[in-house]
Amino acid sequence: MYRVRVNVSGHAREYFPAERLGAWIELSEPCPVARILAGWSVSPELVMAVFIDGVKAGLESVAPNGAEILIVTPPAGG
Amino acid sequence: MNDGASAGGYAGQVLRVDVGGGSSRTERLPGEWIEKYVGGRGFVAKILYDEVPPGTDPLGPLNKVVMAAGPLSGVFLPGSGKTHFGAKSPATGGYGDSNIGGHLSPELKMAGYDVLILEGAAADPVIVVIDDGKVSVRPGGEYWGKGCIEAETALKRDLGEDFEIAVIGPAGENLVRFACISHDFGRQAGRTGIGAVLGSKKVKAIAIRGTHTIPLADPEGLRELGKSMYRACFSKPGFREWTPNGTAGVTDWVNEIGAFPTRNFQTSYFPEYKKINGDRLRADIHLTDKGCMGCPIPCGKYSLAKVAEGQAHVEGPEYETIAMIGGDCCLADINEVGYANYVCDELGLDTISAGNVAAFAMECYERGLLTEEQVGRPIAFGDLPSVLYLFRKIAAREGIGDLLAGGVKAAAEKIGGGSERFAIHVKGLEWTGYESRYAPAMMLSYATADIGAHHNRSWAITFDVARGRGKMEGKPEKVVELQHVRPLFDCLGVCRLQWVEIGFDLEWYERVFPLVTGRKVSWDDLLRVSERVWNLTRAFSIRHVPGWGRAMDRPPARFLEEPVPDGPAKGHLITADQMSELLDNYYALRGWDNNGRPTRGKLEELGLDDVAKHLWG
Ligand code: SF4
Repeated sequence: MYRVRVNVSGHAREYFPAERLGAWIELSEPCPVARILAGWSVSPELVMAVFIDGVKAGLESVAPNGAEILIVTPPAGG
Repeated sequence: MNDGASAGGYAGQVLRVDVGGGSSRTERLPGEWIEKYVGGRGFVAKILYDEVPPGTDPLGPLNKVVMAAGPLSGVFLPGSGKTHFGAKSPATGGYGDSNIGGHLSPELKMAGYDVLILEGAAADPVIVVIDDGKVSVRPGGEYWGKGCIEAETALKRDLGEDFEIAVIGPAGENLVRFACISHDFGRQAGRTGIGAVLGSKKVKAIAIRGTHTIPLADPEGLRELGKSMYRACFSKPGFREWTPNGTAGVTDWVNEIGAFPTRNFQTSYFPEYKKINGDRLRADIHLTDKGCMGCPIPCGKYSLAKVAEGQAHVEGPEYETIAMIGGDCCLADINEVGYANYVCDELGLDTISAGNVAAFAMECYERGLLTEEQVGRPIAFGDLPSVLYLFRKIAAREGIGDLLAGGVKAAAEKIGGGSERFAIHVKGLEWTGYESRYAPAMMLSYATADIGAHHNRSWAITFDVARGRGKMEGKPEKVVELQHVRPLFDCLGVCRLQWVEIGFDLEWYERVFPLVTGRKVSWDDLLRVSERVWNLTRAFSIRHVPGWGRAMDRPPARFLEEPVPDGPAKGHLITADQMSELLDNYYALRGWDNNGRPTRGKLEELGLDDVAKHLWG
């Protein structure tokens, strides 16, 4: 079993499934961050940056088992 | 009805200054204003609606400049240093306002006032000095002609470091219709040209020092909740990621979705954006962070920009400046953008409109609609000296600068040759940092913003991305929702970036409001206030500008006729029919008629019976 925790920062958090955020999610096998979002029907264009355990990563990164994924959505600049 | 003087969060007084006669008087803050308009933007809208009649020349003595604090301004919570300015706009002729960070409104309240109203006009330059209860209008000739930062430095030296200063630059003095008000060495109330209104009154600066305590309904409760609010900000997962780059951090994303103003909005993707993004800002020019009073996430990036002409310290550039002076003028070097930002700041030009106007002039020049003789030299996209030349000419109203100082709408009317098709504005206010041909909700936001094209009333572009960029469904609903939530922060007198940037929860504001004011109101009650203010500003502009309605709630022709030529949004545009459908639905949701006029029923429902009489008899 593959477990990761996903958190989302910024106002666009409202477009992610609230019940999934901050909770451990379990998947049958490791997968890229993009695939987790696709499973939630969230557009990858809402993602400005991805951090895995505090280290900058990308949508195609595969987080290790037990990792914390932070998705930063775009700030409303200016 | 609440009495203003006894309500927590309010100083309880309005200060009126006749800058021509030099007299001043105080009035009690009406309880009705508190209940119906809350503060800040709400007070500005109410005063302008009641006291500036239709037909008033925006640059004449009957226009008024209103500066207002909100009930949360200056109290112990994140981002409470925000101040609202307003006037009849010389850019649009309609309602104008602009928000500024820093320390002004806390100082105004500590001096004993929630609102300052400047009336009349002086014959010679003056400064308005408010030192607690002592108010004076003093000769200001020695500061006239100085840049904003230079003048603020001199005023602090002469009056005392503990004065907070709002000041205009040469652009305001010369009545440039996109002149800003500057404060705290690089923060601006940039939009709608209120700097020019101050200039028309010959007011170079407002200096404020206050020593009183802001009354609070429950100081102990606020102290505890305030601490929790700061802790909540610091613990937000985005805090550490957002703060290093501030708003500049969005530059990559806006390019990658194809929404970045480039070459006077000819396209929406700037191939060299990685040379002017947040990472470059951080790595190449950033010195330290700078924020408003009590801000835990300071978005101000204090920088040192070096170019061939020289070097300059500047607060910024923030995203909008990067977009409008960087992408739209095609400057592909963060030092150049920072330096041009500094030049605007000293001259007192709104960087958004200044970048837009310069890009418009460069496209006119490329198309042969402006000649070298008219301009005074060759100008070209991507050339910093061209951009600086235009900014300086505009601020001085010299030569080509005089033609451009009225903004792109006025300039296109004079230049002709089809240039109005690529004059990128709504209602005379220049468009800002989001190219929206592939973002219908954002396009509608710009078309219907109450001051003209501005992003901050409804930053709906993530909704476009989340719900489908080509889709129209649900977009008007989101725009209306955001047009009530976001400007509400300007009524409260507090920054919205803690919410929009790091996801600080809105419920905090509902909890803190009664601790400050002693009034328990729901978030829905506050949103109702915001809707009332939105209808009031709309009514103001309808009464002041013939045709303000459907025909003017419209993007420029370029966005309706020319598909984006390249980049991630290639091939997209919004058709006139789609725009019309968006407006139909938007007006219906607002309770407005098909021409975008608030109906009698809607106005009466909002308690604006007097406004209903003005509009409908
Ligand atoms: S986020 Fe920026 S504008 Fe808002 S309070 Fe902080 S420094 Fe001021």
